[in-house]
Amino acid sequence: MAEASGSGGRIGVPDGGGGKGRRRDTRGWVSTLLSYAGRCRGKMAASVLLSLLSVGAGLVPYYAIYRVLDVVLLGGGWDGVVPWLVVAVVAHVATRLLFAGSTLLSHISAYTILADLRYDVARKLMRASLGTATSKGVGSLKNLLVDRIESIEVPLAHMIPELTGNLLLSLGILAWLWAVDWRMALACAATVPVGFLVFASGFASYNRMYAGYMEASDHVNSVMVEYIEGIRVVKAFNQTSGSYRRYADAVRAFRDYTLGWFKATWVTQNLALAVIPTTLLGVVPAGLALYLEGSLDAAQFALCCVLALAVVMPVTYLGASFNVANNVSYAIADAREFLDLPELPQPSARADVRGRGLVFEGVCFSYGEGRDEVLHGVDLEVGEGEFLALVGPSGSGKSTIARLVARHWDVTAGSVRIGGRDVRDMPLDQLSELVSYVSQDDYLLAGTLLDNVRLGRPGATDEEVLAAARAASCEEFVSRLPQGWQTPAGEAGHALSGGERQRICIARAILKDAPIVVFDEATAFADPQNEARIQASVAHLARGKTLVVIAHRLSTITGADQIAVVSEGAIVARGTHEQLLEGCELYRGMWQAHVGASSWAAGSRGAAGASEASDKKGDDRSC
Amino acid sequence: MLRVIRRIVAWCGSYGWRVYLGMAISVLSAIAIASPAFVAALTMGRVVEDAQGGAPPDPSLVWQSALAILACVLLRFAVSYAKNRIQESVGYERAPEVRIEVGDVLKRVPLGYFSRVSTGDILSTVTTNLSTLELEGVRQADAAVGGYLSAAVITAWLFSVSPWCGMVSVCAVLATLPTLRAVNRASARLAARAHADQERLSGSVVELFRGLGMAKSYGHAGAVLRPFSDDVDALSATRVSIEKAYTPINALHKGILEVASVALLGVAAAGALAGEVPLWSFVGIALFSTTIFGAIGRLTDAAHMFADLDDVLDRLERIEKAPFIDGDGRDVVPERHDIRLEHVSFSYEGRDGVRREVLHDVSLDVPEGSTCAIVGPSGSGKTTVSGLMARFWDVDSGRVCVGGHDVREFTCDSLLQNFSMVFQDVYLFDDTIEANIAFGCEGATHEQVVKAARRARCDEFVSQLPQGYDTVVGEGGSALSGGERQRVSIARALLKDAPIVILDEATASMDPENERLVQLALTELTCDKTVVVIAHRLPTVEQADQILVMDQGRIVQRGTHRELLEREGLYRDFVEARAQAEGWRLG
Repeated sequence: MAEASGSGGRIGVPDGGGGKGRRRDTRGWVSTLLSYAGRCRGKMAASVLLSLLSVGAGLVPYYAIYRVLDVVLLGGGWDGVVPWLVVAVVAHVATRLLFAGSTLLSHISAYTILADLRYDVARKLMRASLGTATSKGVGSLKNLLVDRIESIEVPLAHMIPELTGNLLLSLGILAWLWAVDWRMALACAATVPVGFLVFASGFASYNRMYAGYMEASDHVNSVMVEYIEGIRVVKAFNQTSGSYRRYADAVRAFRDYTLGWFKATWVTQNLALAVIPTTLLGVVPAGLALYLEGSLDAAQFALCCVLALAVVMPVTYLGASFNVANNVSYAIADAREFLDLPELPQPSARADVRGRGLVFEGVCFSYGEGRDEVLHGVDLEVGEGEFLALVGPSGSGKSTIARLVARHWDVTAGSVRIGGRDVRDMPLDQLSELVSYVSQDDYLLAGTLLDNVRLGRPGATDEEVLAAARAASCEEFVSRLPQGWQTPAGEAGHALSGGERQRICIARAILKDAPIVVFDEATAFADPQNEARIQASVAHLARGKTLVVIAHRLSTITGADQIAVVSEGAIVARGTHEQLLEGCELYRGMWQAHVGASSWAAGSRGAAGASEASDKKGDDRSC
Repeated sequence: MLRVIRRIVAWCGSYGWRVYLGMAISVLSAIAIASPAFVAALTMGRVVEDAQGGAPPDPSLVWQSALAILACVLLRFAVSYAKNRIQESVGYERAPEVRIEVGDVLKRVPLGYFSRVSTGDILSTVTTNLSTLELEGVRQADAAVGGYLSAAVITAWLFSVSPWCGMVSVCAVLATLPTLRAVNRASARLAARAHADQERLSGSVVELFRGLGMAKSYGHAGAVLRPFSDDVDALSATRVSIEKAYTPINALHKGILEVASVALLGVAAAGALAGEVPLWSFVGIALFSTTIFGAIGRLTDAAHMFADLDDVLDRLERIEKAPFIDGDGRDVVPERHDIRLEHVSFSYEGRDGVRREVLHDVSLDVPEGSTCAIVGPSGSGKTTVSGLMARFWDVDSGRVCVGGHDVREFTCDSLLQNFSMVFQDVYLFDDTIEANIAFGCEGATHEQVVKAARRARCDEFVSQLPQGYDTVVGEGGSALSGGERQRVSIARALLKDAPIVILDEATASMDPENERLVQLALTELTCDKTVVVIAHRLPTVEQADQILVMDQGRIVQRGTHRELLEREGLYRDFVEARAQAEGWRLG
């Protein structure tokens, strides 16, 4: 908050946790910041103007002191003193008012900038592909949007008006001294280079140490996050009475780093901070010498002393802003990691889509430049109204294939076409009308349960919404809730099971009624009753649609028109269940594992079925 | 303010004396900072004597004054260096201790604590809030006490010059007490609001993130963005109102001191004109008047920070005072490893403070070396039962016994020594595979780790990793697949080799191939152990010695698979529903 930063803060507070230690690119942070500052140019300019005026008014009391000294020392009377006292009081009051106006305006601008930064990051996430937008994880997004961006407010609000003000104030005072006698100006400024020389000796490693500090701080925070999120494991496994070593090690390493760094800089930092503000060190002897020589009179000498003291405050401030700037540059670099995410290009004109068939042609994909390719030339064709199932070991790429239909990423080569048109040639709105993507981590938004279903088609009537909900067999559990359909999703989230939440999401998709449905089957079994209802509602959703299912349980999809077996990023076989059982070793192995897995039981007595299945494992991939 | 200062010093614990010593040194520091102005004043005094017709100053005064000021610089350096060494590092030494203390506390509180207090809250306390205390606590306490101590020294000197000057100084300090209190009060009021706004924003960022997929597939960016931008705006509005409240009081505070400095100048001038104040003292006051109240002027920062620090200390205290679950436990080594629950009832306290009973009069007996399966719909209380065995919570009534001893007789450590637990949501630490397996068994050799890994069927995938057992698994184990993570967690349990094994939905989220490997690993783990297995998938429990069927917090059926199939009831319904679910087809 106000002025808290300038008061000799040694280092910026590295707020918040999360995020792995990583190298940040802090170049160009000033221009990023200025482009944001440009949006509230008027207020910023007013703030700087008020700050300059307050600096000007702030010089007046020093002149008044000089005049009072002049009057008293040279034998004037009380009458000569009083007007200058009045002038000083008025000037002080004016300075305070102008300065208050300036800081208030700059704070308002700074908070506008902060809000803009946050909006822009959020909008960016909306425009980037889903895969890109979610690649960094919620932890680092939260850390950035809440803590890091907040941490730049104080420096931001104070830097622009006050940095300008203090810089000009220092220069103004020096100019005034120069006007009295140029040698006095030099004498006054003499401590600054001396002090900075001392500083520089300790400063060379500053950036490296600061980066190390930020990294250690990130690390200790992420270890603490881990410790708390994994507390159940910590409790269950950590038998020793001492604390968990990794946690304690991280905490101690951070302490040692911080203390080591501080101790290493104490001598130079304190020496510099003792030398720089002692402007009188040059001014008093030089002034006396010049007085003795006759080029300075007593009152001028006094004025020089007053000005030498007046320059201390702004010069100290300038030194402190160094540290602050570093913290801001880090926060901006963090924000830019998000602001610079690539957007998903989309045309504005709707594409002419013929039919609802789906084609993958030579699709290759990797999660980014320089990353390993995860799909290698995938070809698939699903006719309108057909049912395709994707099966394969975990990590084989089947979910990625399905998500490319919904354009969660763009392919790196080849194309994904709906009704003959590349998904990249249609606006995202049109694509979302064509495709419903339903997965196990679909999410309820703030708002009531009814609102959540209605999101599928905002124009739908209550009857239509309830009909969709009935089709997804939501009614039975919603009627259990005291507020029924009006229950806020947040509260309902605790009251509903995962399976029940998923049924709400399926109802949403039923209401949306898109002609192509991509369904990523939940890997976890809900309890059997829930499971049966989910299956019924998916069957309802899929009726008459082009359907793509990512199957984890093969029994679900034995009736598919076409089953594609995915292994290591390529389609290794296609056909019906019977055809594949016959002709694909991998599929047969998976099927047997699936059947075998169902007959396992806890305890060694039940392992027979499982070990039988494991015999087949050796030639699993030979298909 | 005094109360907060005392709290901060108390927080520093055994380092408290260093904080006090540092404050005492502040007096020296104030003198060192002020003294160059007095050298200047003394020099000026000689010049003025000369101007008024006295003896001209000796030329040697030039280098004498230079040396004197240099001495002041060195004194200032020495004092501030000493203060750094003695006082400034205290926060950085104390905060790590507190972090570790908090870590220990969290390990020993019931898990129920984490459902009552949000994890986010605990996290921001031990990260952001504790850093604020680390960085600002001692500094601000020192600024306040040191500020008043230097004001006292200066005032004493002013009194020695002239009682009037002294009076002005006293009045100035007293006049700013109300402004400081006003800052403190406004900050306390608004800081809480800002904190709440910030928490809400945190929440909406998570919502935004999770809603991204929704927004894209339904084309409703607005619905997802709106709550977020509302919270951004609310936070901005609160912050701006803090500035609006703070700026005028701050201006008033500093304004009062500046007017007082002019008054001081006037009083000193009057004294000098009347001949009551020596000229050099007058010059000294005039030179020094602009900075004389500087330390008091900066106290608005401290007053503002104190509101925040007070809040931080409250939060920390709440965590540190969280009730230990094993406050009067002792180290018990049970001779056998059976588990009994006798008439256990248990309720959770929700975040709204209301307790809801979730287990009603549950009794069960798992003989040593037998397997007990618990099945039932979600929310029926299965996981709670297993948690009570490991004393993650305490029962409301009835008792839980392990090896014939009530679990409340044990310390957490000595109780959990008997348990290996494998959960559905595996949690791995962002560390090497070896460290994750050896977690909790710190003395384990590499050979022991590899042996456990082999038995848990980890060997195959670990040997394919370029760095093998030294591979870092990423945050939450993200570098591994679900099945691989689960096998690492089983290796962890195998290495621990505890006599009681609890499996909570351990194979729930597996693809068939992984599921089979995980089951093989589990077979190793459960061999000759007392086993409690919770499962949705009935086939995995068919062979258990006894099956308990739970519904709505009660055990409604018990028996073996065969016995239960013969009876009408929930179990048979389940088996039928499952058979349907497993055989369901699309299209």
